[in-house]
Amino acid sequence: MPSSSTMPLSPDPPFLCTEDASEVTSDHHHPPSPFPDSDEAAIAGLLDAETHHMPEKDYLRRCRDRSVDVTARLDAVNWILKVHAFYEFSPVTAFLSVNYLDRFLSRCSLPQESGGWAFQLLSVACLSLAAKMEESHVPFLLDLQLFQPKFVFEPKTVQRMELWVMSNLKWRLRSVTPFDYLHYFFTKLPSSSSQSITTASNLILSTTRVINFLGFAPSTVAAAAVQCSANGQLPLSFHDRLNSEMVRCCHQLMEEYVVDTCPASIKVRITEAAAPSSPVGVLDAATCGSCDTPSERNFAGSAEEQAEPPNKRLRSSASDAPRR
Amino acid sequence: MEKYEKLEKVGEGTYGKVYKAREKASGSLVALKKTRLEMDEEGVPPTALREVSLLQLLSQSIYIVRLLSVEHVDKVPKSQKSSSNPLTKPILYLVFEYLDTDLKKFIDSHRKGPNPRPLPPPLIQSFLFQLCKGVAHCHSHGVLHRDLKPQNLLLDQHKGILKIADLGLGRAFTVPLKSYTHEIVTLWYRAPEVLLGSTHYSTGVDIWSVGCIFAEMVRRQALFPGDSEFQQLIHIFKMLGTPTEENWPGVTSLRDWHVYPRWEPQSLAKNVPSLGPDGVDLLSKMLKYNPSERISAKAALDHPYFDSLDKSQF
Repeated sequence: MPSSSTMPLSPDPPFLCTEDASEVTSDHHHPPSPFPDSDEAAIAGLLDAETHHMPEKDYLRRCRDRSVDVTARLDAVNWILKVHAFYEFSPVTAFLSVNYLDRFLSRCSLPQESGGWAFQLLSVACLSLAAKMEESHVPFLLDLQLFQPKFVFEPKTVQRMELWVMSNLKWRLRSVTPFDYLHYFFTKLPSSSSQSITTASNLILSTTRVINFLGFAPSTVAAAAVQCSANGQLPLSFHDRLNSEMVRCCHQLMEEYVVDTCPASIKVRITEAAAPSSPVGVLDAATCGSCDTPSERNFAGSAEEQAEPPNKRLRSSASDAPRR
Repeated sequence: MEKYEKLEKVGEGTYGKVYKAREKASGSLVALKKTRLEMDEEGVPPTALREVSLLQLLSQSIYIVRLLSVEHVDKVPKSQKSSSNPLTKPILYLVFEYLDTDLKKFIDSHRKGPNPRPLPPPLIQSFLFQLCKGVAHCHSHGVLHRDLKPQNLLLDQHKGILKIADLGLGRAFTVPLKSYTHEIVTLWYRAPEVLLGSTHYSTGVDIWSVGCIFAEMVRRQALFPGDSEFQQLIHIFKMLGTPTEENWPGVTSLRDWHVYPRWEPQSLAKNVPSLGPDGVDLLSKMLKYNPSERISAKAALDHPYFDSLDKSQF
């Protein structure tokens, strides 16, 4: 099988990790999934656990100051979404893939001089892991590497990367995602349709391209997507533990960067195109005007970092745009 | 893996050998589940992925076998030992707490051997309660086990503890239900909706298995010992009656439904003669044809069958 000569992954890959990957067991459980006989308890469990399945707290800042190669990240996300659309995987699979990618990148540095193979290998491994967690039928690793990739990796190489990713995620692959909340949140609206749910799902997937959404918890992204797709119907509250200001801010970001106007243009922008290309400026555009998306986690950044004015955030230059 | 001293092979798991071993530092016994990561077309097997990630999530419950650690070893084959750049074979070891037997062996020891005897009713009651606790824990965390059978229920005989093991076929479920793979669960414990080709199954598949295991503890032999999918259905239909649209709406629309002979239901009590009325009632609720009518694991814990059990110990 053809494979790149530059990329054999040795037992000790040249990646810099910030913690001991051998630690496996953890007190942080994945919470209950939405479940008919105890919705409230299930949602409470999801809310308790969701921050444990997000990238490290300084990841968004590192993306903004270019410590993380956000252009390569966007290329990786776009590739994941294209393969996801080709195989008609569930939306959860695509979101999980990006979640694994970001959690890994928040803990490990990929070699800068790799010519792109490291990011590509990471993308294949993350998509493969997510598909194996979620899908009934998973393509072979060689069949997953579609769309003329620059490198084609042998299964044994991908397997090593899979192991490396899993150990760094401490084998916690059951991440909480916005999709865990969707159906519950839609029950809070006066009425909803399957079209609304599809629209919200597409919105959630589109957020994976925009790094600013990394500052929001999955529940917030879900609530904002439901609001955005609900044709103006707004519930009094999705859940009393949701920060309504964060939801408003996330909703505003969605209007600004994921859809032109919300919700009228969603159907045009999202449902027609399987993988719409990200406009220049989406990559790490400043957060919504009135609130500067400090990370929503319990252990959000320092007060000084949170107080940083919006105009200090780097905006994308043309060179940040994805290569076509 | 120098930390562990292998003592003996104790069985074959879903995807590799299982060894009894001793942790050298503490002297405590562990089970090592060896997963050879063959260099095939799929990388890390989905069963291994799911088992580890689901155990990460569920393993804090005392009714689920405890995953202590995951060890990734790169083994150099003998043929490569002299090579300056040897090709290594990756091996994954799942390190579990060690339990000395399983429910299948335990039932067999009461059915045959030097001293055949029924399982004591209080022990059946205790084991079933612990099994329902474990299944309720899985379901409340959005996980279907999908392969519950006596071999996958580990026992600490001295403490009277039962733990669910082998989550290799386990998977997360969400609402609304997804289409899942049809070829799951050992035939004898397989729910009728799965046998009839449904791919949109839910928690009821595990409850059916629990019912079959309950009956097997009482009878000391399997309730529905089919040797093919068709024969499995016939065993079920002959005992519980052929299902109809009246008692199971939608059954005739399932993928593998055919026109079957019309058997009338037998008395369940006659098939588990040593089980009292409360036990028979609980069993009948676990073996309802319509999955949506099957009792939940959580509700089963409050069934009158368990009223005489001292629940404070659980």
